[in-house]
Amino acid sequence: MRRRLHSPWILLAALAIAGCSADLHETEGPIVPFPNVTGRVLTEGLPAVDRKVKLIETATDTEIDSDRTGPDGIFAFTQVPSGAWTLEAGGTGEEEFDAVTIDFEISADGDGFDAPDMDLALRGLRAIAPAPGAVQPLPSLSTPILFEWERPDTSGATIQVRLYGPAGESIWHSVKTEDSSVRWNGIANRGESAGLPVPPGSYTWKLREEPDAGAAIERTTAALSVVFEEPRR
Amino acid sequence: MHRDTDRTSRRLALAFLVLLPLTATASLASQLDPGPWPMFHRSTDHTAFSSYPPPSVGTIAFRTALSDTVEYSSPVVGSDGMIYVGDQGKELWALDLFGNPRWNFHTGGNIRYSTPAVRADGSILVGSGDGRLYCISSIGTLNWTVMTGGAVKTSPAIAPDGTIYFGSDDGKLWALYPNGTPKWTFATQDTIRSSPAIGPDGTVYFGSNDGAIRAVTPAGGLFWSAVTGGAVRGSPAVYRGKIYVGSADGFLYALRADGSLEWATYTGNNLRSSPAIGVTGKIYLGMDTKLACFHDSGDPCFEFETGDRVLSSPAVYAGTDSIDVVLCGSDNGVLYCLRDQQLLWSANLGAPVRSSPSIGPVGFAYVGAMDGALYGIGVIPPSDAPTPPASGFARLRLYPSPVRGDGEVRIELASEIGGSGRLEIFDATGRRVLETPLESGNRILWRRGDGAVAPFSPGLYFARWSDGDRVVTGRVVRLP
Repeated sequence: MRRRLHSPWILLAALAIAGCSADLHETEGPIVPFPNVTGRVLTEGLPAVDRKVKLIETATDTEIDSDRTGPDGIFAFTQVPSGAWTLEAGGTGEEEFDAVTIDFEISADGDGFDAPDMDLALRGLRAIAPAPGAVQPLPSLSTPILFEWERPDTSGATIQVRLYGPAGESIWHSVKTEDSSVRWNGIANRGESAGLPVPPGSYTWKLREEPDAGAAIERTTAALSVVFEEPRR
Repeated sequence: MHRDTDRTSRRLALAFLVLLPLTATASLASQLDPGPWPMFHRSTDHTAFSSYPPPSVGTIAFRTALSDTVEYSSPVVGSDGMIYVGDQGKELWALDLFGNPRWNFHTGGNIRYSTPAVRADGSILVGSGDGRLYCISSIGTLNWTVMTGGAVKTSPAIAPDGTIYFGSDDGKLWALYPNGTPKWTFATQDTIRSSPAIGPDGTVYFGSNDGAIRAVTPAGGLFWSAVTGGAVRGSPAVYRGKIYVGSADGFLYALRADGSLEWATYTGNNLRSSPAIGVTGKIYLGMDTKLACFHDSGDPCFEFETGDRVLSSPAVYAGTDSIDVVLCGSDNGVLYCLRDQQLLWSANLGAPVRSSPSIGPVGFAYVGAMDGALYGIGVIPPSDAPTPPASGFARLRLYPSPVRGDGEVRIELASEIGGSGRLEIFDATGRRVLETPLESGNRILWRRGDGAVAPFSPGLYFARWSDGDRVVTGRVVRLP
C-alpha cells in the first residue's frame, strides 16, 4: 500500500496548467489523481489559513501524511486507501483547541470522504481547576480531585478529562459528561497501571469535547500541568 | 403505704411478665423473614447466594400476567410460601409458588425499581414512585406508610434489630423503627438508586448518584465515604469483610471494611448491575451485554455474551464441587443459567429481563419481565399442571391435602417412572424434614417418627423425588 501521499495542491496546480493547454485532449501526460479526502478548517466560522492537517492511520496512531490549509481553509489528500483513518487539524491552543480530530473509514480503494467542517474555536471553553502548574494532594478514594471547567455556549456537547503521566502516557479518561466538573479518585484506568492508584509526580491533563454524543469529531484543548504530591500527615 | 408499694410492685411485675412475651414477639416479628428469598439479592449482605438449588431445566412452568411492566422489581419468596413482586402498574402482588395470584395492593406510584422485603410477621415492605415506603400485611392490607421527599427506587433492607433502611430520590438514606417511625436520615448530594446492604457489625453500605459509596453506622453517622468517578446505581454486596460494588466510572470496586481500596478493576462499562457472590468468592454481575465473572482478586474469570444489555443482577447457587451455578436475565428476553461458564439452560421469556431472578424451594426460579408477567421456571408438580401429564410422565402424589396437624400423608410414586431414588420433603423455609428411599410404584406414609422431623408446623410442604437424572415434585398443605 502506498503510504506517502502527495499534497494535492501541487497536483491541482499541474492540472490547472495542463488545463490551459489548447491541445489537452491530445497530450499524453501524467495521470493526475483527484483528492479523495477533503475538508475545511475554520475558526469562529471563518477559514483557518495555513493550518497543518494530519492524516493518521487510526489503528497504529501513525501520521501517514499531512497538508496545510489554503486560503479557503481547505485541505485535501489523494489516493487515501481503504481503512480506518483520523484527520487532525492543529490549532493555536490560545483561543483555539489544540487539536480537532475526525475518525472516518474508507471502505474500498477509490472511495472518498468529505469531512464536516472542523472549527478550532474554543467558544469559551476554559479549564478552571486545577490551575495550570497547581500542586495538589495525591487524589484518593477519600480525597478525590475535582476537575472543573467553564463552557458557556456548547450545549449538548460532552466533555471528557484526559490525564497523562510524566512520559506522556495515557493514565485516566473520565466518563463523558455534560456537567462542568468531574471527580477523580486517583485510580488509573488506562495502560498497564489500570486499576492501581497512581504515584505522586507531574501529570498533564486536557479537556476533550464531543459536540454531539457519538459524533466522530472531537476537540482537545492544550495540555495543562498538575503535580500530585503525597498528602501531608 | 408499704403494702401499697408492694401491691404496685406486684402489678408492675405482672404487667412486665405479660408484656415481655409481646415485646419479644414484636422484636422477632419485625426481623427479616427466614424464607428462601425474602429480599433483594436474598439477604442483607446482598450476596444473592441461594441455599436451594435452581431448576435443572429451563422449562417455563407458569407465566402470570400482572397489571404492567415488571422492570427492576424482583420477586421475593417468603417462608409463607408466597411470592411478592411489584410492577409499573403501581401494584404489589402476592402469588403462590405456582404463580396463582392471591392479592394485590395498589400503591400511589409505579413500583419500577423497588424489590419487596418480607418480615418474619409476614408483612411486606416496598418502595413506590409516589415517594412512600409501604408496609403491607400478609393478607394485603395497609399497615403503615412513610412519606419521603422523592420516589423510592431502592429495595428496603431489614437489620437484625428490625431497623428498616432504604434510599430515596430525595437523596437521603432513611432508617425507620420497625413500626415505621423515622429513626434518622442521612443526606447525600444526589438521588439514591443503590439499595443498602448491611454488614455483620450493622454498618450500612450504599451508593449514591453523587458518585460516592458510603458506610453509615447504625446510629446514622458517616463511617467513611469512597468517591468514584460516576454514579453508583448498583447495590453493594458484602462478603468476608469486603464491599463489592460497580460504578458508572467503569470500575468494579472491592473496598475493605475501613473504606480503603482492596482493588479496582476497570471494565470500561457503566456498571449498573449489582454483584452476586459465589461460594469461593467469585463475583458475578451484568456488564454491557455480558454476564461477567471476576475472581476475588479482581482478575476476570469469564464473560458470557448475551447479545443485549444485562441490567439484571445475578443469583448464585453452589453446585457440586463448589462450582457456582449462576442465573441472570438479559434485555434479549432470555433468562440464562450457567455452571461455571457453561450454559446449563436458557429460558426465552420473549421480553427484556431486568428483574433479578430469585431461587425458591424445590427447584423453582422466579423472575419478572417487561411484558408485565411473572415467570416461574422449573418443573411444575403434575397435580398442579394445567394439562394432564403425558403418558409415562411420572407422578408423585401426596394425599390427603390438606391434612390436619401431624396427620399421616400417603406419598405415592407412579409406577411408570420405573426405578428407585430418594424422596425429600422440605418445609416452606427450605428445611428438609424427611429423606427416605422410594421406589416407583411404591407408597410410603409420612408421619411422626420414621426419621421425620416433627412436630409438623402448619404450612406448605414440598416433596422432591430424584434418581439423579429425573426429578419429580409434589406438595401438601398441613393445617393447624
